[in-house]
Amino acid sequence: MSRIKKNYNDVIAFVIIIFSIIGNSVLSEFKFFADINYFFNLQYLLIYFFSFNRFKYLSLLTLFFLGLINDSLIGISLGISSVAYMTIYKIAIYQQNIKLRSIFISEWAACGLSIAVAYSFVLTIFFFQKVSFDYLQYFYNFLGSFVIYPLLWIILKYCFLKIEKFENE
Amino acid sequence: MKAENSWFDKSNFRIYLIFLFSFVLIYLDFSNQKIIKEARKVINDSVVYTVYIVTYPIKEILKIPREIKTLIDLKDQKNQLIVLENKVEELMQQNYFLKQDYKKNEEFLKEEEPYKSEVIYAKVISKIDSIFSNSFALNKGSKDGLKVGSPIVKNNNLIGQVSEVNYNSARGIFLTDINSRVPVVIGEKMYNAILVGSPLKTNKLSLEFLPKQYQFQNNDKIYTSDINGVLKKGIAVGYIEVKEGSNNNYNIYLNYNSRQVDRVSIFIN
Repeated sequence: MSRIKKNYNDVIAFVIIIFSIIGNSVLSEFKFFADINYFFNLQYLLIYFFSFNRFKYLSLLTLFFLGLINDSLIGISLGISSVAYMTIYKIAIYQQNIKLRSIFISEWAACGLSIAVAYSFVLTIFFFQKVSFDYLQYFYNFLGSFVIYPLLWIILKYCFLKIEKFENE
Repeated sequence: MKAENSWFDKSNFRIYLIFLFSFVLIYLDFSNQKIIKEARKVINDSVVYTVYIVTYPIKEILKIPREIKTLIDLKDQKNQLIVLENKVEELMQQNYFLKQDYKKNEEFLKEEEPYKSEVIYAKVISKIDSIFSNSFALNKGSKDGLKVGSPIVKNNNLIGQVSEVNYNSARGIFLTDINSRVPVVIGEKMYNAILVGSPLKTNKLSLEFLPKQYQFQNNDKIYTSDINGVLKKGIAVGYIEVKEGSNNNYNIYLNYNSRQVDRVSIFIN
C-alpha cells in the first residue's frame, strides 16, 4: 500500500477505528457481537494495521483523544487506553521503519508484541488500582487477537485495494 | 532515516511528552484529585451523550427486524385477546371476576411491600460488553440523586449496581461484570454467599464464600441480602440449576436477560 493515500481511504480508516470504539454500544445488544469482543481486541488490531500502513489521520494525538473516549465509555481511569493505543502505534511505526522488505511474518510478530505490551501495561495499572481482572481472559484475548490478525489483514488489504482501484478509475 | 528509527531521539520529545501526560492523567484520576474528578464527570457526560446521539440512528435501524417480529406477535395476541374479552364479559356478568381480581391485587400488594422505596426511573443510553467491562450508561446522574452502589432493578429483578455517578449520567455495572460483588441468600436453606461476575464461568457468574457443606436443589432461588447495608433484602436475582449427578456442580441463571435492558429503576434509599 502506498504511503500517500487518497482521502477516502484515510477517512474510511478513521471512521472504522471510531466505530470499533463506539460501536460496542450498538452491537453489544447482539449476543454474537458481544461474545466476539471476548475473543479478540478489534481496536488494537485496527490501530496496529492502520498505523503500520501509515494512514494519514492516525497520529499520536488522535490516538490520545480516542483513548480518552474509550476510557470514558468503559469506565476505567483516563489515560490507560491512550497509552495502550500509543504504544501499539509506536511499535507499528518502528517496525514499519526498520523493515528492509515486506515480510508479513515480522509484521505479524510485531503486532503480537505490541498487543502483549499494551495488555501488560493495562493489567499492571489494574493491579496497582486494585481493579479485578482475570488474567486468563486477557491471555485468551491476546491469543485470539494474534491468530485473527492475518485474516483481518487479508480483509482490510483487499477492501482498501478495491477502494483505491475504484478511486483511480 | 536513522534518527527516525531510534526510540531515544530528540525528535521524539513530543511523543514522550504525550506519554508522560497520559501517565500523569492516570495517576491523578486514580488518586481522586478533585479537579480531575469534576473534569471526568464533564467528559463522561459529554462522551456518553455524544455516543448516544451518534449511534441512535444505527440502533433504530437495527431494531427494525425486532419491531416487525413484535408486530407479528401482536397480531396473534390480538386474536387471543378477543377470545379473552368474550370470557371476561361472561365472568363479569357472574360478578366472579371482580372478586378474583380483588384477591389478586391484595396478594400483589403484599409481595410488593419490600420494594416500597424511593425509585428513580432511568433510560439505558449505551451498553458496553467488552473484555474490560460489562456496563451500561444511564441518563440520570447526581442531579437526580443517584449514588454509587444503588441497586438497579428491572421488573423487580436485580440487574446491577451504580458504579460511577456523573452530573447528568451514571454508569451501572451488570452482575456479570468482573468487579460486581452482590451479597445474596440462596434457596430454602438460606445459604449466604457473594454473587461474583466471572467472565470465564458459565453465564459469567459464580458464588463465593459459600458454607463448606452446601447442597443446592434445582431451581433454588437467589435473592439479595442486606448484609452490607447497601442493598435491600429480598430483591430477586436468579436461580440455580444443579447439574445431574453432582450437587456441587451447578449453573447460575439470572431472571432477566440484561442484553435487552432499555429502561430501569434505581433504588436511591
